[in-house]
Amino acid sequence: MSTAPALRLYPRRQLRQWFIVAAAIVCTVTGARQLASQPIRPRGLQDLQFGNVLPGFPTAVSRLDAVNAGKFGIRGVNNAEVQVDLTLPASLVSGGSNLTVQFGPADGGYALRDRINESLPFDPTVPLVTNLSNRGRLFIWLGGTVVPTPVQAPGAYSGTIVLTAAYTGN
Amino acid sequence: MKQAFIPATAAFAVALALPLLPTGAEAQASITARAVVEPVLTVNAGNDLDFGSVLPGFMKTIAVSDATAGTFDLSGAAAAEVNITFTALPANLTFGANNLPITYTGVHNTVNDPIAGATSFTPSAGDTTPLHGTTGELYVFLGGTVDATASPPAGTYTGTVTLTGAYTGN
Repeated sequence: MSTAPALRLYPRRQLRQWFIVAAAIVCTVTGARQLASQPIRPRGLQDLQFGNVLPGFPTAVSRLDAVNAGKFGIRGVNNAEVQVDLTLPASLVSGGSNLTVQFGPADGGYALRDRINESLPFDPTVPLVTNLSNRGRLFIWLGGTVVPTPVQAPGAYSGTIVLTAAYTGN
Repeated sequence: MKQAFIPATAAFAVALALPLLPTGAEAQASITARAVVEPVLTVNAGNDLDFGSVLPGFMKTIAVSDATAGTFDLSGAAAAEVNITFTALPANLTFGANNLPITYTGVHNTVNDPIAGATSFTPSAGDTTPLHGTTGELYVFLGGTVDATASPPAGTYTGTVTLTGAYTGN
């Protein structure tokens, strides 16, 4: 079957509109399939480690501390805009004891490459909206401060930090 | 007819594309924040500094290595640096209104030995030193000399010596 007879049924202007609309459908569906085929994938890469701390002495870990700062990696669609939310504990726990942990406005860092020294600061208590790299990647680092009291009970304290990532649609 | 055709096609495109957009989808990852809180520094009194009987007109010395030297032991985080300060170190022992002048000598050691490996310090000045690298212990030995050359009245002369220890944070 040839399509030529059908083409002759439509005026030239209408055919052009057909083509534009068809192209829009193809582009939209193609883009949607790219997003759908690459769900956003965050991963925890390194724990935030304060090490040994003395009662009465606050201890900070910088977001630029490559050994001790917490680290996440995110993969997704190239250049896609994402929102990153961190759920941060107010305290670390050991048995029935709590150890206060604080996160300041510059304790978060993010970069498009796995280069901690290239990271830009952000407030980890506030959602971060940014774009993935042109390779679909984003790295997040996290520092913080633990504040043991002078009579803090000794022990190994821990707490969970959750990163939630989502495409914004932009 | 032409005007009706375009909105219908566009609606079709949107209907086709929307279910595939994953903008509402989010993903999570987590890491753990960890800290080990070291023990609170404790200071325990051991032996009293006991000069025994002192003859009027004479001085009497108790060496830091003598059995009746005063002793304290501190316990805390392994290898942590501490300040040791005598917050009460009387210049006189007293018996009622009578005074018996006293001076002090001191050593500290990370093992319970006032000689081998011990470090001398001036008790009135205190000192800064690390606790034992493994046990977190520090032993303090206090000797002294009482001066009875002025032939004070006979009696039992006493005074209270208080040692205070604190982490430096190092």
